[in-house]
Amino acid sequence: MEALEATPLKKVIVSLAALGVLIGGLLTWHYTQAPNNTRIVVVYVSEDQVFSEPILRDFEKETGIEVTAVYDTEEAKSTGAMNRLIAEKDNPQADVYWANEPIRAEVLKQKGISAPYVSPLAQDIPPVFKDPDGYWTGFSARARVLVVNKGLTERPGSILAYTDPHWKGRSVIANPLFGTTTAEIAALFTIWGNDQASDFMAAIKANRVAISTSNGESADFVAAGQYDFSLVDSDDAVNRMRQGKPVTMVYPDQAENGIGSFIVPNAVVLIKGGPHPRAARSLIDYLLSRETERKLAFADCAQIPLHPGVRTPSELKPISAIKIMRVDYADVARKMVELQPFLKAWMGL
Amino acid sequence: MARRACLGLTVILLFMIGTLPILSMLMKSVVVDGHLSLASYGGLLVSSHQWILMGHSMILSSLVTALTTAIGVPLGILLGKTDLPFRRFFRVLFVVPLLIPPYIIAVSWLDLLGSEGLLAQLLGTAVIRATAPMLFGLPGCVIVLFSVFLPIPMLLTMVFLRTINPRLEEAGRLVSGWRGVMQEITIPLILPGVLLSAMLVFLLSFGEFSVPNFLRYDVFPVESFTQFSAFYNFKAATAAAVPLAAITMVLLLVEGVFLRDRTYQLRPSPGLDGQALIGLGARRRGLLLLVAIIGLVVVFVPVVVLVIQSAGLTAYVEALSRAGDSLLRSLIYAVIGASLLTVLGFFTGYLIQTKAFRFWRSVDSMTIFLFALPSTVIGIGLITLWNTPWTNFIYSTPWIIIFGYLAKYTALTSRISVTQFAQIPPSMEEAAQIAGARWFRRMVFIVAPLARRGLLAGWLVGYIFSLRDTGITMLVYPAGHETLPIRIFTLMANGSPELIAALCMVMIAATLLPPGVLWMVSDMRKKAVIG
Amino acid sequence: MKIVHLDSVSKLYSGEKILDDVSLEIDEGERITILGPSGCGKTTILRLIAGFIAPDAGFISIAGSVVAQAGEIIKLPEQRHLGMVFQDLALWPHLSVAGNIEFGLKAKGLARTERQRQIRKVLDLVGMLGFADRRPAELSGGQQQRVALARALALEPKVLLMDEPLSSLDLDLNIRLRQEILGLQRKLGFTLLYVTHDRDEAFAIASRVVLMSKGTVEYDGAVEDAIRQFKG
Repeated sequence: MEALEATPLKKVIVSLAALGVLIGGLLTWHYTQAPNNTRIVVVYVSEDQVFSEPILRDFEKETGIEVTAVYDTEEAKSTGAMNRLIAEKDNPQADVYWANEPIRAEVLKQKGISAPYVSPLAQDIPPVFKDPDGYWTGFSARARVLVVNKGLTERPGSILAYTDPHWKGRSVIANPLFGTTTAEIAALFTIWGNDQASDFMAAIKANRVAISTSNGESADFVAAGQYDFSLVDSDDAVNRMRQGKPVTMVYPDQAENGIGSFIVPNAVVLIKGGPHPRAARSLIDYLLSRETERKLAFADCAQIPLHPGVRTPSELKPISAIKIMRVDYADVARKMVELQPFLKAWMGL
Repeated sequence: MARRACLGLTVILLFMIGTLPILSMLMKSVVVDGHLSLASYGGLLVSSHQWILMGHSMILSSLVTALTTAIGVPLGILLGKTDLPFRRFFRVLFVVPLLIPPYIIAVSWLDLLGSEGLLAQLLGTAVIRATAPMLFGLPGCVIVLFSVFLPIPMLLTMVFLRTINPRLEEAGRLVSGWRGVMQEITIPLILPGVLLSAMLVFLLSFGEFSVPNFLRYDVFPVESFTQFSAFYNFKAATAAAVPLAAITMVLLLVEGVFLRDRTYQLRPSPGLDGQALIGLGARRRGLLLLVAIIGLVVVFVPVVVLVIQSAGLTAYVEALSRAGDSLLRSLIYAVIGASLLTVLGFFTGYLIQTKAFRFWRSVDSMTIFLFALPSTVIGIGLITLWNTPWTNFIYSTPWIIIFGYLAKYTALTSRISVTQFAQIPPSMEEAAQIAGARWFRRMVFIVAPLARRGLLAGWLVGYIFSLRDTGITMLVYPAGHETLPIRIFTLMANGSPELIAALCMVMIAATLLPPGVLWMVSDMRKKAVIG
Repeated sequence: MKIVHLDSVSKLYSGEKILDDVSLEIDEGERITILGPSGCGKTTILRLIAGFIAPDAGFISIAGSVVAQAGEIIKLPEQRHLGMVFQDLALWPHLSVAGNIEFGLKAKGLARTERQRQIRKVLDLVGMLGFADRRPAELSGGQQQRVALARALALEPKVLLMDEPLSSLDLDLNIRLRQEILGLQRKLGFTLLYVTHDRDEAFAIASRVVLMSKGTVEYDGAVEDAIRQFKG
C-alpha cells in the first residue's frame, strides 16, 4: 500500500524550515560579523553615485579601509540619506556624510547630528566654504551659471536678465521647490533682503519664465533652442558643451559691483557618535585632498576645485578667477525653510 | 490553543513590523514641544491648492485604474482562458513593465518621443515637436502608469479564473455562447479579484510620485515628499500622508458595497483540474493582432528603446561588474521576502476569512493602509523603532529590508489567501478536525495543500513586489548592501543611459527567466501528458 | 447509558432562533435519525455535537462530561472522538483513499504498521480494498460514499454523525448503502446519529426518530410508532 503523501510533505516542510533558520542565522551572523573594525568606514553619499563611487574605490585601494556606502539620488526624487541620518540620530550607523551641497550639512549641524572636525588638508580652502566651527568642510564646487544658446547674438550676463523685457518668455528655470535652485533663491534673499528679493521673483514671473523639473532639463531646453538661457549648475552646462550641443556657459554678475556667481560646494560631515571615528577622519581627509578635487574636476561632473592651484579642464575657470557670491550658508539654510510657503505660492501651488 | 497562539503571533508580528512604526510616527506627529498638538495637521487640506493636488491625484488614479481594469481583465481572460496563440509568451511579456522602475519607463518614452528623441532624429524634429508635449502632463502619466500597472489586473484575473468551478461555466454554456457566459457568469464570479486589483492599482497610482514629477503633473504626494526632502520634517510629512488613510477607508467601503451579498461558494469540484479553454475560432487572428499591438506599445517599445540604448557588449559587462553582487542580493532578499510574505499572508488571510478574532476587519484594513502609505513614512518609522543598540542584529542586517517588505506588502498575499480560502469548503477542515487532527496539522496537511494555487500565486506576486521595491529599501538597507533596483536608481543620476538600460535589461532577464522558464516547462509537460 | 445529552440547547443565527430549547438524550448503541425539512435546525444539532459551534444556551455532554455550554466550547471537535460523514463527504482531493483514512490515524499517533492494518480493515468493511491508491476524483459517487464512511470509522468512534450523506445518490444506490450502513452499525455497535429530510431513509435506518420543525422537537419516539403515526 502506498504510504501517505503527507509524509514527504512533512519532511519538506521541516527541512525548508531548517534551511530557512540556517540561512537566516548565517545572514545575521555574516552581517553582524564586522564590529568596531577600524578597517571599515560607513559613508552616506548624496553626490551622484557615478562620480562618488570611483573616488571611494580609490580610497579603499590606497588605504585598505573598506568603504560601505549608502547612495542617494535627488534626480529620481528619493529622500534617502538625509532622512536616514536624522532618523538614526540616537544610534548612528554612518560615520561620514558626503553632501552635494552645504545646506544639508548646515541642517545636520542645527539638528545636532554632526560633530566638528577640522581636517589639516583643508587649510587652504577659503574660509567662506567651511563651517567656522568645523561641522562641515566644502570641496569641489559647482557654480550657478547661465547656460546660453550659442545661436544668440546677444548674451545675458546677469541673473537680472530674467526680469529684462528683452528676454520676455525666452527664459527657463528649474522648479524652485527643489535643489540648488531653492538654495540660490534663498541666497538672494539673504543678500538683497526680503523686499528686493521678492520683487525680483515677482518680476521674473511677470516676465513669463518657464519652469522645468530639473537643471538638466533646463539645459536641454536651451540646447534645443526652445528657450534662450537658464540658470543651472555648472556641471549641467559643461556636460552639454562636451556633448557638442550648441550652448555656452556664462558666469553671471561678474562685474565689479555684481553680486557674483552662487557657489555650491560639496560638503563633508563627520557624524556624531558614528561607529568608526578614526577611519571616518581618514576618509574626510581623503575627500578634502587636492587629488580628489582634481579627479572630480576632470570627471563628467566637472567640479571646480577649491584648493588654489589644482589643475582644471579647459571649460572651467579656477575658483580664484570667479567672482563669487558672498553668503553665509547657515543663513541660507535657515532662509530656505522660511521661504518654502513663499515659493509654493510663487509656483501657484 | 495552537490556533489562537499562531494567529495571535501573526497579529503581533504584523503589529510590531507594520503597525507600530506607523503608530510611533503618528504619535510623534501630534506631539509638538512635549505637548499634544495638531499643529502638524494645521496646514492639511486647508489651502485650495492642496485640494487641487488632491483632485489631480484622484483624476490620475481613477483614469489609470479604469484603463488598466478595462484592458487588463479582458487580457487576463484572453491569456488565461482562451486558445490564443503564444499566450504563454505574452503572460511573461506583460509582466516586464512591472519590473522596470516606472521612472525609467517614463524616461524611455521621452527618449523615443521627446523633442530630441529617437523618432525626432528619424522623422525630423518638426513632426515630433507637435507630439512631444502630449507626453507631458496627465496623458503621459496615464500612459506610463497604465503600462506599469497593467500586469496587476491581468495576473489577478488569471489567478481568480482558475478558482472558478468549471461546472458553473458549463451550466451557462448550455444556454449561451462563451460571450454570454463571460458577461453573466465568469466576470461576476471573479468580481472580488477585479475589485482587489482595482484597489491595488488605485493606491499604487496614488502613491506614485517619480513619474508625475518627471512628466510635470502636480499630485498630492508632493506634499509629503517636500516635507521629507526639503524640511526633513517627519511630523508634517506624516500628517500629509494621513489623508491616504481616509482614501483607503473609502476604497474598502466601496469594495464592501460591491461585494455585499456576494459571498459565493465557488468550490471547485474536488480534484477537477480541467479548465475548459475557450476556442476563439475565427477571431483568433484578430485578437492575437490586438494583444500583439498592446504588447508592442506597452512593453516592446520601452524595452526596445532600452535595448537600443544599451547596445554593445561593453554596457552589459559594466552592468554586471557594477551590479552583479546587488543582483544576487536582490534575488536572495526577494525569495526570502516572498516566502515569508506567503506564510504571513496565509495566516493573516486565514484569520480574516474565518473571522478568528473580533478585530479581523481591522487587521485587513491595516494591511491595506500600510500598502497605501508612502514608503518613506514606513521606512522612517522602521528606523526610529528598530535602530537601537539592542536591535542592531535586525537593523544593521538585511532583516530590516525583509521587515520592510512584510510591512508594506502583506496586504497582497493576505488578500490572495482570503480568496483562495473562500474556495475551500469548510467541511474539508472540519473533517480533519473530527478525525482528531489539531489545528497546526490541519493547516499543514489539509488547508495549505488545498490552497497551494493561491499560495503559489501569492508567492509570485510577493516576489515581484519585493524585487521591484525601492521606496522602503532605499531608507533601510544596510550600508554597502543595496539591491539592484536601488543601484539602478542611484546610478540614474547622471549615469550613462547605456549603463542604466543595460542594468534594466539584466534585471528583467534575471527576474523573469526563472519563473518564465518554469512556467513554460510546466505547461509543456501538461501538454505532453494530455497529448 | 447516555452517550450524548443535549440539555435545553438554543442556538441563534443573526438574531433568529435556529434551535429553541432543544433537549435530547441518546443512549449508547441507538440509531437515531433526525428528520425534518431544510432549515429546521437538524444540521445545527449535528454541528453542535461535533463541536464546530457553541450553543447560546444550555449544555451538551458526551459520555458523561460536559463538552459545551452557553457560548463556550469546552472540548474541541478533535478531542471528542466522534466520527462524521459530511453532506459533501469532504474527501480531501489531494490525498489518496488510503491517505484520507490514514490522516486521522496519524494524528492519533499510531505506528505505521498499525495504521496500515487499520486502513485495510476499514476498507475491507466497506468493500473498497482494491481502491487504496486511487484519488477521490477517480471514484464513482457510491465509492466516494464508502470511502467517507471508512474514513469516519477508522478511528472506531463511539458515535457516528451522518449529515444527509446519501442525498446525492440515486434511489437504488441509496437503498443499497442504507443497508450497508445498517449492517455496519449492527456489526460494530456504534451509536448512529443520522440527519435526513427523507422519510423512507429515516425510517429504514432508525431505531428512534426525532422529528424537528422550526427549531423545536416535534416528535421523539421509537421508529415503529413513528411509522404508524406519520406513514399511515
